[in-house]
Amino acid sequence: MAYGGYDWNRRLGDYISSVADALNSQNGGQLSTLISVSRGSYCNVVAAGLDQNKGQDVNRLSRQLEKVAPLGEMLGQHMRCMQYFVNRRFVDSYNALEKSANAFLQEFRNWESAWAMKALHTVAYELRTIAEMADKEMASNGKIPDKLKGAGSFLMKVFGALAGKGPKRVGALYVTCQLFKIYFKLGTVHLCRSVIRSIETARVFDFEEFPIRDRVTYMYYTGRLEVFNDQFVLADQKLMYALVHCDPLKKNNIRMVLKYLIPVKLSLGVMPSKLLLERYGLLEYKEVIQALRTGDIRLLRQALQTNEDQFLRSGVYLVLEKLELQCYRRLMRKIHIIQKQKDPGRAHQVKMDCVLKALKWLNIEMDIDEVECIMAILIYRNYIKGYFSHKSKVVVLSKQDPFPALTAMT
Amino acid sequence: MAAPPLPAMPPPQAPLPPSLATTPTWPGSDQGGANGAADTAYAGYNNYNHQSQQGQEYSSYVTGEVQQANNFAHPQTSNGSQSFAQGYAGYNYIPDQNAYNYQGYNNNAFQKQGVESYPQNAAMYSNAGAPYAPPNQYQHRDVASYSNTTNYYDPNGYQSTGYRGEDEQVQASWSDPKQVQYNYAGYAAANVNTNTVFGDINTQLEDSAQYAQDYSHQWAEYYASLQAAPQPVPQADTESNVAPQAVSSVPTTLVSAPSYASVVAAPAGQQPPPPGTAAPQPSWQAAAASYAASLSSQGSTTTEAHTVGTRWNANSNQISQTPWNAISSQTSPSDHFNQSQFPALAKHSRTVANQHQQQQSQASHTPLQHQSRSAKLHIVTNPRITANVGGLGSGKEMQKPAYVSVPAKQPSSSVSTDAVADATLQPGRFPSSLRAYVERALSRCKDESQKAACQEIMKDMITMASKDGTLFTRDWDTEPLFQIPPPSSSSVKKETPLQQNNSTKSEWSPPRRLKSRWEPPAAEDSDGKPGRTHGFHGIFREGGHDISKEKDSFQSHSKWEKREDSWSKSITDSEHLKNVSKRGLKRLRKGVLSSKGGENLSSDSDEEHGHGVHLGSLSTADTPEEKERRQSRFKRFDRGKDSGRGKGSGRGGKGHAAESASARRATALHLALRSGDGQNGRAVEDIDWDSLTIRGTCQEVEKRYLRLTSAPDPNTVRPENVLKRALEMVKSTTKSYLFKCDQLKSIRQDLTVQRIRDEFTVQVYETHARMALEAGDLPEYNQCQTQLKFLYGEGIKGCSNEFAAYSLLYILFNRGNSRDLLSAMAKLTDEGRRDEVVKHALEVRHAVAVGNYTTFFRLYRTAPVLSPCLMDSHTEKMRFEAVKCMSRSYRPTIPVSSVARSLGFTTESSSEGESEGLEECEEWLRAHGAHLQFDSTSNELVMEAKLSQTSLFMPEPEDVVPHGDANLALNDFFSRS
Repeated sequence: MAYGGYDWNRRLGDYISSVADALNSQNGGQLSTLISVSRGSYCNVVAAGLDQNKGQDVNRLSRQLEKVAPLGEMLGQHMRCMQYFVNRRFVDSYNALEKSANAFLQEFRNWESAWAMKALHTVAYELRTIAEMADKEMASNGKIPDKLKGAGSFLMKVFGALAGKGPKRVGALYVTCQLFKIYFKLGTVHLCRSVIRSIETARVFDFEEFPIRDRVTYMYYTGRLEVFNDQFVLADQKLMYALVHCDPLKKNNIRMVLKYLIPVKLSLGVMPSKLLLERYGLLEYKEVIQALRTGDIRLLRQALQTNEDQFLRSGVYLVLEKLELQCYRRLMRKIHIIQKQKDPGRAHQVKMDCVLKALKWLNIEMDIDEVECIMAILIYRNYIKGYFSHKSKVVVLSKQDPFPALTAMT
Repeated sequence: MAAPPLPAMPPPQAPLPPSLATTPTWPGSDQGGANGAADTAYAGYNNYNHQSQQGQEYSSYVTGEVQQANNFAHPQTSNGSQSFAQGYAGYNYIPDQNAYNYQGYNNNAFQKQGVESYPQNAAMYSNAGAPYAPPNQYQHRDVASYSNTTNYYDPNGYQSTGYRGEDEQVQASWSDPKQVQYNYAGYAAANVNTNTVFGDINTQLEDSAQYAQDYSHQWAEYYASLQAAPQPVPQADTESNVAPQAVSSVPTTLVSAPSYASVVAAPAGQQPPPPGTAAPQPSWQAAAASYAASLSSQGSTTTEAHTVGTRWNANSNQISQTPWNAISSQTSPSDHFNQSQFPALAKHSRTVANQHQQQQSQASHTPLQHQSRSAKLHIVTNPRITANVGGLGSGKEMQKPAYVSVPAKQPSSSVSTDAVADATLQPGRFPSSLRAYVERALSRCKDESQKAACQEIMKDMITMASKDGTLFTRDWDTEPLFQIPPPSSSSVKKETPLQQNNSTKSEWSPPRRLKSRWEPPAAEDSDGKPGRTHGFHGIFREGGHDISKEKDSFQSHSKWEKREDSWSKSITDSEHLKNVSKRGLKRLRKGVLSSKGGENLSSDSDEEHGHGVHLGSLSTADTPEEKERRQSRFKRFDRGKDSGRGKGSGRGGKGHAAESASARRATALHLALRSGDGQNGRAVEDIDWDSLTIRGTCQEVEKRYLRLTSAPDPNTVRPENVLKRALEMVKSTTKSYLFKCDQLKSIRQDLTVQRIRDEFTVQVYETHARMALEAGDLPEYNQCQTQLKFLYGEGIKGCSNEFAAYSLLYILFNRGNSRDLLSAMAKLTDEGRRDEVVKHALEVRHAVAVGNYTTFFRLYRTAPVLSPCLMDSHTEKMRFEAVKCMSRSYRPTIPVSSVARSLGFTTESSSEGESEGLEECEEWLRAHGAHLQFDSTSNELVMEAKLSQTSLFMPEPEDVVPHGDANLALNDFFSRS
C-alpha cells in the first residue's frame, strides 16, 4: 500500500510535470490532451492518484503545482474536477472546473499568442459537457439545474477574451458554437443574437478564415435560427453551406443538417431523394414527402400527427405544417392533369365539385366554403395561377404555366 | 523626484468586515472619502487607482467622495465669513501636487472642477503655497500637503490646516515609519517610534506650551504664510458664527446647512476651559488647557499647529477604522456625555465618540492613550472630523451634522445640541412629562446599544423641540414613541440619530423632496411636524436611499452636480427603493470591477450600504441570475420594510409585535446575506424565507392597490380568509373592470407578500386573467398567465388546460414567434390536447398558419369560454388579409353576403341578424377601401375584386389613444381618482 501510494504520487507528479512541459514548450495540443476531462485518458490517472493520496501529501502536491506556475491554481482545481468527474460527482466537478477555467482564462488573456487555443477549447467543451451532466445530476436531486446556464455566461466571458482583433480571434467561432449548443439546449436562443452579431459584423476577420469545423457548426445553428424565423431562403443558404462543407464521413453531422435542410427545401419546393432519407435515417420525412408528391392531404396530416412530438422538439413542425398548401396545389395539379387527359379543351377549368370529390376520397370533410377559401389562398399566394369564379364555383387556371415552380415563387 | 517611498504600505485589502477593521490595515479607498482630498487619494491609491485601467468608474468614485469632503469642509470655510467657495480652493492645488511629484492623484475631472469653480482662489492660494520649497522629499511632501490644506480650508485656517496635515500624516504613519517619525518630529521634540507615535504625541500635547512652541517653530513658516492668506484668527471664528446665513446665501442645501451649524458649535469648545480641572481625564484636560493656552497666547499660528497635530491623530484613526466606527459609534456618545466635564466640550462628544471608537480599534497600539486622545481630538476637530467620518463613510455619515440642529447664532447662547440632549439624560432641567417620555422610551430597550441609540434619537428630538420652542409646551405624555432601532443591524442603527436629526432641522433645509412621488402619500405628514415624521421615516430608511438625497443636495449645492459619477449617479435620483436596489447593484458591480485588485473600495461601501452592498457582492459572486433577481426583490422588500416600520410607528406606535418580527426578519436577512458574501450564493438558499414571511392582520375586505415601494406592513395586509372574501366581493360586484382589476391586484399583492401559493392563489390569478381577457386588458392577462404558469408548474390544481389554450392563443396573436409557439405546443400533454379549449386553440393556430380565414371565423364563432376574447385581437387583421386574398383571387366579383359569411359577420345557417351582419360587413368593406356595387343580375351587393385589389387599406383604429393603452384613457383615469 505504501508503495502503491508512492506510485500514485509519482504518477501525479508525472502528470504535473507533463503539464509543466506543455506549458513551457507552449504545446497547446499536449496541454489540451492533458486537461481533457470527459474524453481524456489522464482523467482516470489523476483521479486515482488523488483518491489514493487522500490529502496526505498536500504539501508535496502543492510544491509540485508550483512547477506549473502561474497555472498552479488552475491545475489544482482541474485535478479536483477530474477526481470528482471520475467519482461521478458532476456538480462538484463542474464547480471545480469553472474555477480552473477562470484561472486559465485569466492566464490565457495574458498570453500574446494563441498557442493555448486548443486547450482553451477543451476547457470550453468540458465546461459545457460537464455542466450538462451536472444539470442532470441536480435535476435528479430535485434542485433547479443552473450549471449549464452558468457555463453559458462563463463561455460568454471566454468569447469576450477571443472576439477582439488579433490571433486569438480564430478561436472565437468554436466558443460561439459551444454557446449555441448551450443556448439551444436551454431554449434561450435569443441570446445567440449578440454572439452572431459579433461574428458577422466584424469585417476585419473573414468568415472563411475560421476553421472549417467551426464554420459548419456555426452555419448549422444559424440556419436553424433562420428556420425559427421563417426565413427559409436564408436558412437554405446556411444549411446548404453546412451540408456542403461538412465532412462527408461525419454521417451524424450530415444527418443533423439534413434534418432541418429537408423541411426547408420542401417548403421551397425541392424534394429529397428516397435514397437520401434512407441513408441518413430521416424516415420521419418519408410520409411527408410521399404526401407532397401525391397531393394526399390526409397522409400529410397523419404524418404530422404521428411525428408531432419529434417535429415539435426539433422545431420543424410549423414548417412542415405549412406544406399543406403545397399539398392542395399538388392535388389541383393532379385534377388538372386528369381533366386534360379527358377533355383538353376545358382542362383549365376546375370545378369545385371535383375538388370536393377528391377530398372526400381522401376522407377529408370540407364544405365548399372552406375549399373555396383554400383555393383563394392558393391563388393569392401564387401556388396557382388563375382566378376563382364565385358565381360558377370554378377555379379558372391560367393557360400558361398554371402551376409555377415553387422554387421561383419566393 | 521619485514618489515618496511607501515600503510599509500593505497591499490593498479586500473589503474588510467590520470585525477585521481593528487590525491596522490601510483601507485605501476609505481614505478617499474620509479626507476627500487629493493627497489622501494619492496616498491610498497611487499604486493603482489613478492608473487608467481603473477607468472612469474609479475616478468618479473618488471624486464623489471628494465632493463629500468638500461639502464638509465648507463649514469651516464659511466660518471665516468667506464664501465657502473658497473652501474648494485647495483643490486647485492638486495640479501642484502632481508637479511635486505626487504621482498618485490624477483625477483630472476633479482638478478641472476645482479650477473651474474657483479660479481666483486658486491663483491666490497657489501663490501662498509656492514659497515652500522643501529641502527633501518628505518635507516637500509636507509642504505640499500643508499648503494645499491651507488653501483648501483657508478661511478658517487653523482647522482646515490640521485637516489636511492629517492626511499626510496618516499616510505616512501607515506607509512609512520613517516618514512618520519625521513628521512627528515636527510636533514633538522627542523622537518616537512608529508604533507609539500616537501616544507620544499625546504626551507631548499635554505640555501645551512646549508643544505649541515646537510646533510653531517647526512649521512657523507655513503658517505665517497661511496667515497672509485671508484667513481669520480663531477669535474671528466666534464672530463668524453668524456666518451661516451669509453662507447660506450661496445655494445651500440641507446638508450644507447642518455643517454650518456644526461649526457654530465649535467655537464654544474653544472657550478656554479652566485649566487643571477634570482630574479623571488628565490628558483631556491637558489638551483643553493646551489648546486654550495656544489660543490665547500663541495666536492663530500655534493654534493651527496644535490643531494639526491633534487632528491628524483623529484622522488617522478615523481613516483606518471607519468600518468599525460605523458600527460602534452608536453606543459611544452617551458614554462621552457622561464623561465630559465641560459643557462646552460636551457638544463635541459625539465626534469624540466616533474618534473614541476608532481609536479603540487602534488600541493595540496605544491602549492607554485613546481616551485622552479622543478628548483632544474632539476639541479641535469636531466639525470636520464629523465631516470626515461622513466622507469616510461614503455617504451615510455625511449626515453626521447632528449638532447642526442647534442653530446657535451667537456663541454665547450656544447651548449645544448635545449638551441639551445630554441634559435630558440627567433629568432636572426638563418637564417631568418629558422625563417620563424618555423613561418610557428607554424602558423599551433591550440592551445597552439600543438604549444608546434611543438616547441618541431622543437627544435629537429634544434638541429640535428646544430649538423650535416646543420643549416645554409639547405634550410629551401623548407624544408617540419612536421606533427602537433594531439591535443588531448596525449599519442601519448607526444612522439613527443622524438621519433624524437631519430631518429635524427643517428650518435650515431648503425645500427638499423628502418623499418620492412614487411613494404612497404619507398621512403622517399632515400633522404639521414634517420634520419629525421624516426623521422617523428616515431612521430606518435603507442607507443608500436617504443618503442619496443627501448627496443629491450636496451636489447640486456645490455645483458639482454636473459630474455625475457612477457613485452619485447611482444615488442621486434613486428616489425609489426599487431604483436604489437596482442601481445600487449596478454601482456595486462597478465598484467591484474597479476594486479588482482587491482594494478596499467596496469595503467601504460595504459598510455604508449594508444590505445593498451585500446584495451587490452576492451578485458578483457566481450566483445564478434567477436567484439573484429573486433575492434582490426580497432584499428590496426587506429594506423597505424597515422604513415601513418606521412609518408605522411614527403614525401611532402600534403593531409592535409585528415590528419586532420584521426586525427579526431584517436581521436574519441581513445576516444571511452577509454570510452569503462568500464565493457562491448558496447562502441565499439557506435563508429560511418562511421565518421572514409576514402574516397580515388587516380585516378590511376592500383595499386599493398600491405598488409597494417599501416593506409590506402587516397592518395593511389581509390574511387569507379576508382575501377569500375579497375575491368573492370582486366576483360579485357590478362595478367596472377598473375597480375589479384594482382589487384583484391588491389581492395578488397581499398573497405575494404573504407568500401564499395554493389553490386559492390560482383562483385569484385565474379570476383576474379571465376578467382581464373579458376587458381586453392583455398586459394584465399576460401577468396573470405568467404567474399561473409557475403555479401550475408547482403542481397546484386549477384550470391549467383552459389557460394553456389561452396561452397558446396569446402567443399566436401577440408574439408571432414560432419558437415560443413551438415550446408552448410541446408542453401540452396528451390529456391537454384532448381538452376542448386546447383543441380549439390548436385548430385556430393551424388556421392562422395556413391563412384559412373561413375556418378561422368558424372557430371564432364556436370558440369556447374566453378564447374569442383572445381571438378578437386578431379578427381585424385576419379579415383584412382575407379581403386582400379574395380581391386577388376572385374574378370578377364576389357577393358581399359571401364575404360576410367567410369573415364571420354572418352565420351560414341562421337568418337572424343576417341583414345586420351584412350591413356591418358592407360598412367594414367600405371602410377598408373595397369597391362595392350593386349587381343587378344577382340582385345583390358585390365587391369588385379587381378594383378593390389596389384600393384596400387598413384604416387607423378609431379608439386609438396616444399612449397606446386604451385602459389608460383620460376619462378612466379621472373616474378612478
